Amino acid sequence: MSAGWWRRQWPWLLGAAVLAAGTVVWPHFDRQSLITFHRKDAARAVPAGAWGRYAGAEWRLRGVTVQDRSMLPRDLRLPANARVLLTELEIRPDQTAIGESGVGRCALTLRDGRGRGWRASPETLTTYSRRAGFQLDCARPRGEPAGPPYVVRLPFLLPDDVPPTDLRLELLLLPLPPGSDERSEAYLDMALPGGR
Amino acid sequence: MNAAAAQPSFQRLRRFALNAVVLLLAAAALFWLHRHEPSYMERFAPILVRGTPGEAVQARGLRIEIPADLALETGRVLVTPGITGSAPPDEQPSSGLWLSVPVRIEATLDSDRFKVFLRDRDGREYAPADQSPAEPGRAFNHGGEGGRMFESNIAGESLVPGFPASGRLYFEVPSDRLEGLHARFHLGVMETPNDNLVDIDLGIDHHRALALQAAATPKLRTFIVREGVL
Repeated sequence: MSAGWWRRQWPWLLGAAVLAAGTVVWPHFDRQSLITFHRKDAARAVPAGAWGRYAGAEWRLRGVTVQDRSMLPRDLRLPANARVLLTELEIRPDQTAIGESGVGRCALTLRDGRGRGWRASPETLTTYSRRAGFQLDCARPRGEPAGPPYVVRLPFLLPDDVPPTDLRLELLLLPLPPGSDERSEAYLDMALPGGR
Repeated sequence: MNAAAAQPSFQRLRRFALNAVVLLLAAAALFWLHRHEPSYMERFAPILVRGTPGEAVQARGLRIEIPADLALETGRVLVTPGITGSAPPDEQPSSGLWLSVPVRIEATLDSDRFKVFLRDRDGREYAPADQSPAEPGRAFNHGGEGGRMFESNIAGESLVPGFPASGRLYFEVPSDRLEGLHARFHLGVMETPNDNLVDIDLGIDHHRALALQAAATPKLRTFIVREGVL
C-alpha cells in the first residue's frame, strides 16, 4: 500500500485503533466499577471531634480510651500483647415520620496506618461487653427517650504495637436503613482526637 | 481494450483483493478473540499462592505457615472434648486415617474467619473436623485425669490482625490418599472473586505416606489437659 493510502485513511485507522483499545479497556473498568464496596474514594473524612453526616444521622467520635489491663476481669483470657480500647460515639439520628432513622446496624472498624483493621466487639470481648454494659451496635440504649443525641460505647481488641494516634475509625451501616439515599459504598472515616 | 483502460481495472481488482484479505484477517482475529475469551469462572478464579512447609506464605490479608519442625500426625480414632467436663471425650473412628496438620495463621489486614481443606492428587477435597464448642480452659475430670482443657483444633477460628493463631487441623482422609496432599486456605467463609488461595504442598511422597500410615496412633486427641490449674 502506498504512502498516499495511509495518508487518506488515517482518520479511519486512528478510529479503529481507539475502538480496539476501547474494547479491551472498557470491560476492565466496567468490572472494576462493580467493586465499589469500601472504595477509598467513598470515604467521607471527618476531622477529630467534629460531627459527620452519614445515612440519616450525625455522628461524632468523642474519644478512644485504652482500658487499664488491671481493671479488666481476671477471667477474660486475652493474648499477652492484647489491649482493649473503648470508643465513645455520639449519635444524633434524624427525626422521621415514624420516629427516628434506624442506625442500629453499624459496622465499626479501627484502622491503622498500615491498613490493618479491627472490628468492634469481637467474639473474645462479647461476654465482657455484656457484663460491663457496653453496646453491641449503635442502636439507642433501651429506655432512653427518642430525640436527643445519645452515646454508645464499643470495645475493640488490638495488639499493643498499635499506637492509638495511628488509628482512624471507619463507620458504615450494613444494611443501610430502608429509604436511605446514601450510596452503598460510602462510609465515614473519622479522625481520632490527637490522631492522624 | 487498450493498455490504458486495463491499468485502472487491475488496480481496482488489487485493492479489492487487499480489502478482502484485511477483512478476512479482522474476522479471523475477532473469531479467535471470541473463542479464547476467558470464561466467567476463569475470570473470577482464585489466585493461587503456593508454598511449602517451613515457609511463611504471605497472601492478600493472610499469612500462613505450616511449621517444618512440627510433625504431621496420624490416628485411627479422633478424640474430641465431651459435652461436659466430667463426660467422657467423644470418639470418632475412621475407616481411613485422621491426619493432624500443625499450622500458624494470621490475618494481616482485616479480621475474619479462615477456611481450609485438603486436596488430593485427583482434586478430591477433605474438610477439617469442626472445633468443639467447649470453652478454652474448661475444667476436665475424667479417667483419672484432671485439670483445665485446651483444644488444639483451630479450624474456622476467627482471626484478628496482630494475634497469630497456632494449633492443629484434623482431617479424615482415606489411607491411600495421603500421597501428594496439599492444604488450601483462604480468608473468609466464602471465596470471593479473585480471592487469594494459599496452596501448601505437605510434601508427602510415597515413603512418607507409608510411614504416616504405619505411625498412626490408635487415638488422636484434639486437646490437652493441663494439670494443677483447676
